[in-house]
Amino acid sequence: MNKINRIKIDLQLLYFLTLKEFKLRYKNSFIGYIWAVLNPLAFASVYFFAFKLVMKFDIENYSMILLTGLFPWVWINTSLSKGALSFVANSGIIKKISFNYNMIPISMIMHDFVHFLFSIPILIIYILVTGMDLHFSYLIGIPILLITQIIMLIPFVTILSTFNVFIRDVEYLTSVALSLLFFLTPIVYPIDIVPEKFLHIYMLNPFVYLIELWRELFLNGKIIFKNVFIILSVFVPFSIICRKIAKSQYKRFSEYL
Amino acid sequence: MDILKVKKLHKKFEKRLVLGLKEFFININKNQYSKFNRKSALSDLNFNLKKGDSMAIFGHNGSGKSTLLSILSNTIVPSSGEIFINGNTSSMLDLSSGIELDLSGYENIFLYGSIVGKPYSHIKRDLDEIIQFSELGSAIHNQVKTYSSGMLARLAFSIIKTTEPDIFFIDEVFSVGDINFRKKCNDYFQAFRKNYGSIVFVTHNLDEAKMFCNKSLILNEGKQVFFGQIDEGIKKYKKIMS
Repeated sequence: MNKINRIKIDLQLLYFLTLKEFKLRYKNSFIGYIWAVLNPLAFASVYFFAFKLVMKFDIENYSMILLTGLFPWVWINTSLSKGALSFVANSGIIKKISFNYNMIPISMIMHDFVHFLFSIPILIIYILVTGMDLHFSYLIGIPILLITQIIMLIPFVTILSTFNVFIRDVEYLTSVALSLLFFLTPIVYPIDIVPEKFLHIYMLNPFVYLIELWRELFLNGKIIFKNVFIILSVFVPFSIICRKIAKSQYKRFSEYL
Repeated sequence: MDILKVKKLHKKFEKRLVLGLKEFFININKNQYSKFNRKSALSDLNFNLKKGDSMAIFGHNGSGKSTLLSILSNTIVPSSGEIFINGNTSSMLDLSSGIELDLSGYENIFLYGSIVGKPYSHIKRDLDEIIQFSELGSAIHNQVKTYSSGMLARLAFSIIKTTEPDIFFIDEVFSVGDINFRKKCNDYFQAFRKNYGSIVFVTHNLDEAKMFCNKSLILNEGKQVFFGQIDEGIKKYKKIMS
């Protein structure tokens, strides 16, 4: 009973921290949350122009490949870059009250999770407009992939935000790493065009599995359970380790913030 | 029964990592002695409060009063020594103490409540009481950054008081409230003390200290100069200050 109460309180805290993030992110902005969808759409059009029209990339369904890569990537990208900053950005609260800090970085994931939810209807409309097939497997596939992605992001934000309290270079490092990862993950190209001889190194990037999952689901209605299993078996233990490391540092936070 | 007991408390701030290349190459001479740049922030503090006792902490600027309150509130850890706290605590370490300036007062009530672990149903239950005590009226829906410091203190205190602690840790924050609000807070604290609640507070206002506290602690450059009855403490403190 006590444990259930604890979880309930944690979820309540997560909810209000996420709500706060929503209020802060787009204050004084005119179209607010619409940016969350416009941003990847704008990128998709630029890449479509550059690769399909200018460089004449011969890839079937390229626009859909772009969208199914860019929407999840924007979620990854913003959660990690904002997440790394999250303890520093919330120093006001952390210095004054002692509480369960680990919900702060997770709230950054949840904020962009909600953004991502807004982009799913856009994908579906796009599928309908271009005359592709919708699949019933979306109904199970989408929730599974959402949870998989959240579980995957949690250890990253937890550890990045914790290190960033002590060494502020982490946030700059994160943004450099993210721009490299953008091209090392099949976001603006399909995975089949990666040369075979690089594939064994290429597949070490965990985000490859995630993007592949989303793309297969939306394009062919297939859930690649193998990838879900790989991600969970790596990231659940990783998450526990990161949580332990972060927790051991919480008491030093307010002196460094 | 002791409600708060501090034994051989010692705090030395960690030597920071060199945070930038410039500092790494240019070694600023920090070895010159200044009482604000001493080795230990706090050294060898020993005191205890019984249930119903309240304590005022006196001392010059930089003598370690706020550090002590932060340690008692568990936001920073002592380097050595022991602290026993028997009961729930609430802290108001500065004016905003965890209030988010970009949110409205109303939204802050829910955020703060969740941070200190209050269930949603309790926050809802206390909502009216908080708004009423703060006297902010419809301004509760304005962004907190538009508030004056007095209004901020009203909001913060009204929220914090509903956490119903056994011990309050308060760092001189009521100097900004107007007479009405201070009277209201004073009445609240009188009632709180009658119910055997304890207050530990940093203040430079000796009358206020005398009104709420029966004990006092004087710090000087991180060392405990005096711990004992309030009257004696005030006399000692006046002597030190002159």
